[in-house]
Amino acid sequence: MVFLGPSGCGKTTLLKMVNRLVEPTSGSVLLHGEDIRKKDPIHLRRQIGYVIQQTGLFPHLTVAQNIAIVPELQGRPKDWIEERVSYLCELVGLPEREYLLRYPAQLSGGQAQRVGVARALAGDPEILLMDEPFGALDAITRSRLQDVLLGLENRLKKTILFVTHDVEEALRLADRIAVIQAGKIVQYGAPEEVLLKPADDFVRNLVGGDDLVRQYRVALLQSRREKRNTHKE
Amino acid sequence: MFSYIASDFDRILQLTVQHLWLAGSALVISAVIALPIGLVIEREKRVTAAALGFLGTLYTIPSIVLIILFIPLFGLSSWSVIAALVIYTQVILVRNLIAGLRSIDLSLIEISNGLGMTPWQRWWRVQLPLALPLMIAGVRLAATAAIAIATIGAKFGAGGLGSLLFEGIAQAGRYDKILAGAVTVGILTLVVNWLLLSLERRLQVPKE
Repeated sequence: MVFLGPSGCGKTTLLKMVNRLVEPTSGSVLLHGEDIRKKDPIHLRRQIGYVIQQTGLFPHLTVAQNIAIVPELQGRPKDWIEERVSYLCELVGLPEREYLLRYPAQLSGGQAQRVGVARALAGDPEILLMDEPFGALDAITRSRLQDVLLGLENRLKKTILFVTHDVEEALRLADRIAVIQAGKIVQYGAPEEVLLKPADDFVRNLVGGDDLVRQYRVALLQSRREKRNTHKE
Repeated sequence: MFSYIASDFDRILQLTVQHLWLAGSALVISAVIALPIGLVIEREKRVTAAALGFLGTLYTIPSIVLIILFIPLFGLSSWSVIAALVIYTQVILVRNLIAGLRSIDLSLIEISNGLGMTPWQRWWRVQLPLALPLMIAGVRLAATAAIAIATIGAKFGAGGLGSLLFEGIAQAGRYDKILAGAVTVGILTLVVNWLLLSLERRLQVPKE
């Protein structure tokens, strides 16, 4: 699920309401049918993965220590954490053990964000919040990390809420897109629906639905996704 | 000078220990006070500016005057000197603590909250270790200042290496005593500075 919209439209705010970094002024956020305001925010956040654009890796901790933070906060046993850390490093494509002892300053942007994703998954959350996680990366690295994310989603079956202003990224990653303008969801639907049947001129301009090449590519992605889903079943 | 040092070595050693005790206890007390002050005033920009301005004003009072101001309270003893040193080093410690906390990227504070740290865990696991190098740098500056100013303490019955200087001045022609005192204070400052500097470097966040 992707929140798509221009900067300042409120997509990040919406995301932060899910882990209660921002409290809604009206309305409520339901998780499994339960109002999250009834839950302890600290406990809630430890069950929700969180990735931000600046990676937010702690510079004084090694890769392994960064990934281990949430399970440590959860009070998991030491060998569980150790196993989890190496499993996640492999999952995000940093299989070599030498990475575990590196510090964030010794990683490239792409590697750092892989660690960011691994850290968010460390507590085995059901939901993953990603706030423009690949926004600061170059095009090639970004596309590689998008592949990693698609692979993850396939293997782990997590609900991922993903914020971006990049239309290509939204079309590529999303099962569903919520287009947001000035704090309101103006359209919610599958990528091809948003692209081919934009709700209004704003959405049409944003996604560039008249672009035939883009239409073709989305159709291709869609057929692949369907194939994948039938495989799963 | 060397013959004097050799002849009076035990006394010089004793004065050095006394000197370190003066500066050291002042620093410990000052740090214990600076930590809560820094944490409280750091939250609000205007309060920070006002408080640092006030502490900065105290810093401009000549140290000898500051010691004299405490004499009605503590008498002619090491406590008047220590009290003055605490006031004098306060601004250095508080300013560096705040600089350390402010140097932390705000996204790190946000992610600490987002990952589910309590405020206490955030302080202990993130803010303290990241602010520590700058805090130690403050301790280093304060220590250097305290060792220098503690020299005057001898005039007020606090002992320390200043005793040699003032005795040397009083006893005409005892340049050897003056030199011995000055050189020992210099060496003391350099050693303490070097020790704290290496600690500071060890705590530095790894780069490249």
